Amino acid sequence: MTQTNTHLSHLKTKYGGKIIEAEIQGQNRIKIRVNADDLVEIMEYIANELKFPSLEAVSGVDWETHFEVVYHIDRWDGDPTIIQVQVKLENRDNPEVPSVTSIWASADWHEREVFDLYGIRITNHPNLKRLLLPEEWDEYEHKHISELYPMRRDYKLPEKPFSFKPHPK
Amino acid sequence: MSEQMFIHMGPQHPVNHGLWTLKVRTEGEKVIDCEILIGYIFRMIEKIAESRPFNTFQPLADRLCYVSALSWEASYILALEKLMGIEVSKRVQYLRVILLEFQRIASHLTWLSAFTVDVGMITMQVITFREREYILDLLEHVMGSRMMYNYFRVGGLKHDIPFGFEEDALALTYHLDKRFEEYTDMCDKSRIFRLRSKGVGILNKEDALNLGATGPVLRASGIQADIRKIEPYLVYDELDFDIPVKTDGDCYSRYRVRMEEMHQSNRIIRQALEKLPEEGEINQKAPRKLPKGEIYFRTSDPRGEGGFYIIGNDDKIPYRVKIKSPAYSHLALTSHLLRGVKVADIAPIVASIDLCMGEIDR
Amino acid sequence: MVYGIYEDLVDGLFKFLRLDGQIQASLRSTLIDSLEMTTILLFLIVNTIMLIWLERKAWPRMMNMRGITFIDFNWFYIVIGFLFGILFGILIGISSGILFSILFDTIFGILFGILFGILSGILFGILLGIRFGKRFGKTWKFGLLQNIAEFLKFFSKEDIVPEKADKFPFNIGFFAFIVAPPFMLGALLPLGGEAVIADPAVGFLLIFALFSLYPVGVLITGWSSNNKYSLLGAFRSAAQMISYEIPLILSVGAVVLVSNSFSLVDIANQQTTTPLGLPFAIFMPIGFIVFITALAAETERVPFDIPEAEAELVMGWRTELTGFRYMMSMATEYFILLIGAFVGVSLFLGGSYLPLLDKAMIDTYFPLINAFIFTAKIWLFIFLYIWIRSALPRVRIDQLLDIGWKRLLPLAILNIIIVIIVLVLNPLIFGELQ
Repeated sequence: MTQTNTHLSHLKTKYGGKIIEAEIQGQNRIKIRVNADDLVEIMEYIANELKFPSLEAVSGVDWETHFEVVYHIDRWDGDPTIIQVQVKLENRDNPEVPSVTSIWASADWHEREVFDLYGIRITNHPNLKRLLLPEEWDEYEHKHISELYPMRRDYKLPEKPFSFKPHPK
Repeated sequence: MSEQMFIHMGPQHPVNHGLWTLKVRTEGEKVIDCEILIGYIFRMIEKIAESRPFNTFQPLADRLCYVSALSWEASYILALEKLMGIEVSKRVQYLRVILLEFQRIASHLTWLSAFTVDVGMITMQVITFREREYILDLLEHVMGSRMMYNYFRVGGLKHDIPFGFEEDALALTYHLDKRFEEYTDMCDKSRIFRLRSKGVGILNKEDALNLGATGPVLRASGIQADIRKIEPYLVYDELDFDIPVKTDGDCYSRYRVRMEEMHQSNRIIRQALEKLPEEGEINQKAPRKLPKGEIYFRTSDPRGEGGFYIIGNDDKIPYRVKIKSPAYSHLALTSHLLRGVKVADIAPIVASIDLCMGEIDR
Repeated sequence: MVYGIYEDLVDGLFKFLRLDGQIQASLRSTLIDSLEMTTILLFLIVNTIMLIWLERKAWPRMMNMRGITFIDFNWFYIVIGFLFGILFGILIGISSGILFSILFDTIFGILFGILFGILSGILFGILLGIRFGKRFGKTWKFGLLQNIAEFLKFFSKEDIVPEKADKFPFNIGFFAFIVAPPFMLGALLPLGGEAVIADPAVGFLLIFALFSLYPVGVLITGWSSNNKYSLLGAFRSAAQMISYEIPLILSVGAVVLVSNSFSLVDIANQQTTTPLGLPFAIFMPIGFIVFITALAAETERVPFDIPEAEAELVMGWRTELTGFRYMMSMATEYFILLIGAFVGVSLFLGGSYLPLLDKAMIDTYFPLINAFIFTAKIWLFIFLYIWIRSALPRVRIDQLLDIGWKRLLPLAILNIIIVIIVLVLNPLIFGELQ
């Protein structure tokens, strides 16, 4: 039994009911799907008990019907396993996912990026504001809400360039 | 009674090699807190990647980082090949390893020049660029361009290497070995250099992992981790090389790790040149469409661990391309390193983690 | 000696003028003084321009070094150039030797001619070697016109006073405390031998006093330009200069101790009476090293260029200076380095005399050679700083103060103690008091 299988069996025995879907992809990618409510609990288990100390990337995916946030977690001790945690967000109008910055400090910027480009609200994030786009991006002249978050699939380029007009106070 | 003041460093300032802003709150010469603002050259590369056929994105993958374009290109191509399940010939793999390691040396030389000039040695800035120029000449001889190569293809390479490349490459590795000794003379034997870099910007093991450090920064903090060993791609498992590691986690360790990595790269190149097969298909046929499925593929970029998370949807346009940039995490952890240091130490610390704004602002 | 020409010139002028006795006397001294002052200032300005030129030429070449010692040249061509140079030098030497012996009718003429020939041969050899070995771009001959062109360019630039700056100190502080003092020093500097305009009893103490006006100017300019980089640079500069003034003065104190004089001329003369005519740098090496280090800090040279650390503080205290002001601030820095070289050469390197050569002989037969020896030594001294600049990184402010207070100060005191002990044991080793 490889290390990857061991990790997966640990996960399954502990959180069998909460993991919606689990499979091994390729040789050493564990792919699990969880609910947003259980995310922090499972992540804490992965970080502290399974000893996965490093969060590599947080990516948002827009599946047109719903959003998905994908976490890649790594352990850097010679074991090539990567756990890929996927969270499905059904509510397209107000997607929300809890922050994992309390577990991995590196999640800070990754989560801000997801918020910035997809409009997925990260709850409990210490400093949730725009990162790559300008901080006053929301105050620009946007016609539609879809123009706020450019990585969404329904994002449309405006006909004329953006102009910055702050709201009159 | 102390008075605090804000110093803005950037977006155009010698300390930030690229366009970003460092807002530092200082108390005299001591840094209390800092904030990093990025996004000045944000150009939505991920959106572009998911709106055009996968092969036309490759020139843009080059432009992710202008210092090590080839490694990003390789990362993208290798991820696609893994997703499609293509196995390229051994000759192509060895050639890719040789070129990638040359690119790594060139990138580290650029880093060395930036780091030493921030410590104050302008001589080193000049002489490292001198050797980098030889490498770029060699790469230009092979690929026809100095920095933005666009040479790898899904299924092989654009064309075979030119006549005489092996001899040139071998001669260059020996030449570089001599030059690395010279750099060691200039830097390690200089007492002031050691004063400026030892014990500066210490990143301990736990913080390094928790803050998402990868590559040389992680190895300088005492963790012997390299994708080339953990999860070998190309033919790295057939080659004999060491992963340098230092335990102090300061600027000097990062410098030493990168210097030794350049030595190891030379070793790899020499072995690969020796084992390079004479025959092999250079560019084999590749499918037009990406299969349904997803891949998270990591390579050892000179800056750390570069990754691509690609979702294919049985189409020639990838559904989602996420770029995992090592410098992105490193810039985020810079604010952790800068707390409590002297203003004069900002420059060496920021330089020691090796930033490249092209891949941070994507 | 050098200035004797002016007396003859003015006397010759007065033969035609036939003025009243008293007016003539006063006019004569005024004329001679102003001519002398013009000479020294001209010398300083030309040398500053040459210094910047040399640094610009030598520094890139030294940056291209292999390791720390060798220069990346094509050695074959260097050797050929060197041989040509020596051949050329020997020809010059023989001809000048013959010329000297005809002119002065002594055996020294031939000897001196040969010496001159060898020296010029080595110089030509190096120059030709560099020329043959590797060539970079140039402006006019050897790029000599580059500095003049840049001076003109800077003069043609707009002179910007920042809008938020404190205008009065920004203007006055800069010109009064940074640009003006070094020019005053011209009168106190000997141009070889005893050719000095004013030789007051306080001597080089006055030079150091005017030196220490510089940090005041830096502080005023940095503060009033209302920029945080300038402010930090100015504070650093003030801290640095104040803490390095002390080792500098103490290292010089040992020289004063053995020479019982503050006059640069007297001290230089005394070094010809030591055993073999060796300079003080041989007898008090610690003091000399302390002096060099402290002078580097005083003149903000690498490795102590933290007030203008371009990595973190853009341009330090001169961030807001533009055009003409910027040019003057940079030129003043080199100017001060030149003056420091004057002092250092006079105090530690034997002034305008060489060891083993009799002072009276030089003064009698080749009076003008003094100035050449002196200039050569100054350039040697400055070359040391250019060399350091191409080899060393920059220290941090706390390390700098560490070096100043914990290393240089004890070393300077140790130097004084050693000198006192030697002086008590054998006073004659430091030569005769002048």
